[in-house]
Amino acid sequence: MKKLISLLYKDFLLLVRDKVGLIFLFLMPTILVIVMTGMQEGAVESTAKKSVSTIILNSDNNKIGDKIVDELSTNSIFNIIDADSFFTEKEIERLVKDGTYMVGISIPEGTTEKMEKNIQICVDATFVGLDASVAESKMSPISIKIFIDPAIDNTFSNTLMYYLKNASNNIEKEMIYKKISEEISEMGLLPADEFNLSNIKAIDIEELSLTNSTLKRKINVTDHNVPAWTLFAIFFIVISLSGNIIKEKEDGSYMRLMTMPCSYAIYLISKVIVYVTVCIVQFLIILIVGRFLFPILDLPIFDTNGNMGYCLIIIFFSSIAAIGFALLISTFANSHQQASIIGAVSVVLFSAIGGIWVPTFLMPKFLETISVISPLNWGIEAFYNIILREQNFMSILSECIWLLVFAVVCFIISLLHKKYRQGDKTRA
Amino acid sequence: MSDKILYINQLNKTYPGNNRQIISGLDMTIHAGEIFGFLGPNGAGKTTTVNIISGLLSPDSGTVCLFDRDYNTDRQYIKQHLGIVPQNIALFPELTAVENLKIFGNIYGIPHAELNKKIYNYLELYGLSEYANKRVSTFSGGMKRSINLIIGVLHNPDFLILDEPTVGIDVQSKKIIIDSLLEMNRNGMTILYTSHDMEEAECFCTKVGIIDNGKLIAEDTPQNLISLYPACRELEDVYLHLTGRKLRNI
Repeated sequence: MKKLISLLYKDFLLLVRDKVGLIFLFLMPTILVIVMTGMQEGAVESTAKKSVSTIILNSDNNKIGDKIVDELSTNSIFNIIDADSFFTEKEIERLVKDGTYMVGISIPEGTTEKMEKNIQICVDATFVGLDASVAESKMSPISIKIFIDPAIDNTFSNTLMYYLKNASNNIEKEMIYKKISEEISEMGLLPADEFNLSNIKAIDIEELSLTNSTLKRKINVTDHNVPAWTLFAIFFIVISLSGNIIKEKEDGSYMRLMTMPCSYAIYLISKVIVYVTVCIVQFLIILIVGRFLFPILDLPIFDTNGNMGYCLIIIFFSSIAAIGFALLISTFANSHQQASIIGAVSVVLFSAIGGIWVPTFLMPKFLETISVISPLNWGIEAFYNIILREQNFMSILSECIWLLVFAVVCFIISLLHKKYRQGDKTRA
Repeated sequence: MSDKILYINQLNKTYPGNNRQIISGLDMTIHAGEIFGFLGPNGAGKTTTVNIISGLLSPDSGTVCLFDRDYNTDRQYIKQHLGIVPQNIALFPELTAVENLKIFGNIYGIPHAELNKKIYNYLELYGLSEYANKRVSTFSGGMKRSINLIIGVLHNPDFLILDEPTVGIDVQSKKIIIDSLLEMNRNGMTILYTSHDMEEAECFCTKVGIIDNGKLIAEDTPQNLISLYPACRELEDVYLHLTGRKLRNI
């Protein structure tokens, strides 16, 4: 025990006296989480607040035209401008072409009347038993023209089409039901004004959030960035730890320890304890930033939903994985400069493919597939399970096991390589 | 317990991928109280032998016994009674002299009060008292070697291995080191001493072993070795006679 305490004291002193290392371990991830969360929140907000300037030429001035204008006006995405009656369709097209407006809609004169006539034809054909093609040949074409700036995002144009179709379908349905009611009423079956199906909803679609919480919650920038940059910080210990191990081998102090009554196991346990503690402190610092600083910066607060214990479990297994990886690098690298480069590049790559910079569900399919090889991905998925899906320990067990297996595999490889390099079953 | 501190019998060692056998049938015995000078040219197998004795390497075959014990069964006992002063300065440069000594002293299990007393006594002996709380990285080469040596003897080992302990230090420091080692030897410590300084070995060592090509080619007191070769007036002459004058750039 005294030996372990002595080595812990040594590792702690070496850590706190490495000022540059401390900056990388604690300050850099803190700055990263603030900057990245702020940037992403800013991007989300500006997208949400962005509106599409839309000019509508409602030459119909009747049910259909008015319905379309009303539907689009209720949505804040569209900044609706009613075109003066002196405008023509050509002028609307020109205004969109030259960029004055992003969308132009032209509802021709007589749209509602044509629609009513077409519906009458359809209803008559139904009751008389005419072929659909015969009815169709008698109908007048109705065309509402939409002019869209090519620069407009697909999301906006899809939303626009959805609202237009919704508006026209609703009014069409209302008109059909009314016409049918009138026909049935004329047949003497039901009074026309008592038969109105247009407000009946045949199918109700209910959105269910897969969470145990009564609070339905969707991911926000903080939910992603706090765990993501914590994991990044944890794996960045690879540089400090591998460099530390190599330096001790280079300066001979490691070999000296191995000639003393001090086993390799105690030597490693000391490093594990110190660096797991570092990882926990990193998480706590970022957590404090997420809980207390983010609201001041007008960013969403980070909430563990009372699952702090599970978060610490994830941190523990992630740090074990990082320590194993550091050990592996220290075995293969020939100098601590080499270890720094290998460590930094590999951690950046792991974090990129693992969904730290960008969530995996936003990645292209092939990247989403390879993301599963990254230990940072396992960590972030475990966090999602706890914070968003609010599941229990069993939901993070597989990720924790993978992280542990990763650590063990790294350790075994480094041990085998160490023995091979020494050309020996070393006693140390 | 016999008076054999170190007993090596038919020791062999080859590194994988290396066709040359580094140690070939080495036999060596060091008795309690001896100061044994382990001499040899570059690549002769000195460092490999010392690493095997220190427990850092395992031999391919042969027997290595320290204090009548074997590493496979009594590793902790051997390490507890063995002191190593490596050729490289093996310290933690970002820690102070006292911190280095305390850390290593605690690993040997030296009680706290005794450890503090020893640390300050040794620092005073080697003229390092005023540098006790300064980082070792700021020390001169000679000062670092002194700390290096103190770590090796802090726990009063029965057997001390010194690998070129006086390289690169001034005459005054060398005198202090040699005198202190002689004092420790008088108090019962057995010493294995490697060096390229023949004059120092001749004065300091009670017995000398010369290794070349992995084998011990001579083993006796310096005076006996000199007398064996009438053409030789000093140990260096004997050494060159036995190992040759050809450069060894291995």
